[in-house]
Amino acid sequence: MNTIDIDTFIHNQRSRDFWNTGLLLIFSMVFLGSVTVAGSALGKSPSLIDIVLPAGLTAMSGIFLFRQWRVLMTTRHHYRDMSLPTATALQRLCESTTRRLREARLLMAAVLFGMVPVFVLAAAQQVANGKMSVGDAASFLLLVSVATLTVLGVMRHRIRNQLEPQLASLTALQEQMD
Amino acid sequence: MQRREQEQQFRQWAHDHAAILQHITRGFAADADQEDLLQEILLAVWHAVPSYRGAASPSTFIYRIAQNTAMTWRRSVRYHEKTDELDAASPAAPPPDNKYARTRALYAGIRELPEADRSLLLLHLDELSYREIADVTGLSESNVGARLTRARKKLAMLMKENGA
Repeated sequence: MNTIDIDTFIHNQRSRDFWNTGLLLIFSMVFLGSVTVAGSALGKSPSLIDIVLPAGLTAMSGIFLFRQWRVLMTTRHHYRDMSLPTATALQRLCESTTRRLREARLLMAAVLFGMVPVFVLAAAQQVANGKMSVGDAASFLLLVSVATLTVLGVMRHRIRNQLEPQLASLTALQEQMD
Repeated sequence: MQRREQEQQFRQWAHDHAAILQHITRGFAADADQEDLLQEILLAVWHAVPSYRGAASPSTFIYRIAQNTAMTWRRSVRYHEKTDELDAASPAAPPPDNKYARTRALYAGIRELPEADRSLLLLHLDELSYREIADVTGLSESNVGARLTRARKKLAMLMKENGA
């Protein structure tokens, strides 16, 4: 192995594993902390800022926690599959890509048709009960719209630029192997 | 498997099977990309060490990981973007003029083949038997034989077209 130093490589792997696990722990703590804060804010008579800040922090730390967990778990899964015979590995990869594509589309639909109506109804109810002003409700819905559009944009990008081309090339490769 | 055992096993494999890794790397990547791919393969081997149960020989195990990783690496969007940019930016390669010219032309020809054929030819060039190639790829022995014949013809045609 004349181009890569194995000692350096092993050292890098050790520190990478250490940081991945450390980040997972940090995000877990932030997530739990923010859930506690959000929970206690909901127990009082909350203003918009009382809800939005902890909820935002909870959502963000939750996303990072999930991402970090995926980094650890999918990497392990991904590399474990690599030791299978090529045809089998290819078939498994095709199946998992199809599943991920389906999940991504379902998530998009869930965000669009599930979360958005819930938020709109909740805001309308708060306004009707006099707990929230129309201005506050409008800002809240604006925030929800921006968050929803961001999530949908990311998901759409992932589907169009990653999952669909990946599945197409995997299918072509599988045809070559058949 | 203990961490120390994983490291020992990895060191041993990286040393004993360095030729396999280099060979697959050359078959799937050109020039500067070879080091990137080698890193990827080493990373895959590193992660796979604890899952080795001895069902296949270490060399078959490493061939599988190297082949699967190389195929995955080729499909990555980043690779295509990078090669597209390089193709657009760089002039045609100078004619080979040293003693390795023929080997380089052979690997260049192999890299032009469809991925399935490329894998089979790389294993065949390493003098693996049809049985061993079938173990690595998951194809039947007879299928391996038929495909290899076609792949060799394609490679010969490509090399003739390239003037090698």
